[in-house]
Amino acid sequence: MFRKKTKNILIIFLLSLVFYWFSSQALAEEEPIFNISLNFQKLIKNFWQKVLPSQEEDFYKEKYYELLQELAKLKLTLKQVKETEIISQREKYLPNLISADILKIDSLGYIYAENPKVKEGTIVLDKNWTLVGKVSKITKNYLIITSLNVPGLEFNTANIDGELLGLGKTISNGFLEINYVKPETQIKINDFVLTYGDDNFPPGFLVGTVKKINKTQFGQQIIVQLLFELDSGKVYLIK
Amino acid sequence: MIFNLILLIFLQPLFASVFIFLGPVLNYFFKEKIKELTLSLISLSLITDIIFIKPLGFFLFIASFSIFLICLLEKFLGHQHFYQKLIYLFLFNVIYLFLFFFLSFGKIVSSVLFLKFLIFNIIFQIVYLVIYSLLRT
Repeated sequence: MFRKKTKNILIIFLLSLVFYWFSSQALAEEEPIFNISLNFQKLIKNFWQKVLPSQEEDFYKEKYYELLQELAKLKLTLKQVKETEIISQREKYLPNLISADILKIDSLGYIYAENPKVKEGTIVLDKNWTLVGKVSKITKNYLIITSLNVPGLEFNTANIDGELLGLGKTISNGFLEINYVKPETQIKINDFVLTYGDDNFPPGFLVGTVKKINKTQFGQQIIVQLLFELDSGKVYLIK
Repeated sequence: MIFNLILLIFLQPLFASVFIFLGPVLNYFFKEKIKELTLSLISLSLITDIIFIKPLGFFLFIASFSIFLICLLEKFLGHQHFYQKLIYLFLFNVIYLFLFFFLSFGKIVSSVLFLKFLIFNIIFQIVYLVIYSLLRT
């Protein structure tokens, strides 16, 4: 029995190795199947949302109202920084903004969305103008967005005054860490963190807020909570 | 088999961190049902490829390799007892997830994400195996 099972599995493994190799070489051929799958998964998600409306809805309603209050405060703060780059980004990019429906969000942070005919490398934002990520792959019917939830993404970050904080690295689960921030840099919990320079993302896009500050022997380590949210089922791309 | 198929098609899109097809596959592995193991491994993993938008054969490749490795363990350790099954599940998931992350990113980029996947999958597989054996008795 042991031998038969091992032999069977070994044969399947060898066949799958060949099959996977051929398949990864001809990924474009599978795109129509994937497109059907993405649309089907969207239907299933919508179906479950209708059949089983969240039981935690009431709990979250309360939370939602609390958050609305916090948001109002944040908006006030945003007003105070009207002259900073966050606002000027709107004027700069608004005419080029185009929306796309989300088809699927996978567990590693990749977002599949309908393709509104944009190019690879297009910047993706949410409805609140917060940075979501970048288009990493285009296919005929859908596009793949590498969101900031994908671990290991690196880009320069700045504080609200546009001063460089350091190189930020995404660590999945909605957080970003910035290591080796100069000890003299003044930063507080809940401060906004923006993109800096023009390395991976254009400067001045809102990324998140400071959640934790750790003092280390090399300076400060800042943990940033990402602010983008995809509940609306839409993302916005800068064409 | 049909039940597993329905489970996979209707629930997998909702749970992105759990690989549902591994439940029935590991169940057949422990029950020594070779035909069912082969059939479910091939069919369910191909459907999982389509759901996860991976090149066809991706999940078959990593799952069959991981199962092959734990098959070798059978020479030294049985899996009659629950604690032995746990050892098998742990080893299988570590190998499987290592391959999954390595082929997705080229390295293990986040230990937090790895741990999250490991815990979720082991819990799901234990629940699946326990419910299946309860339904059979």
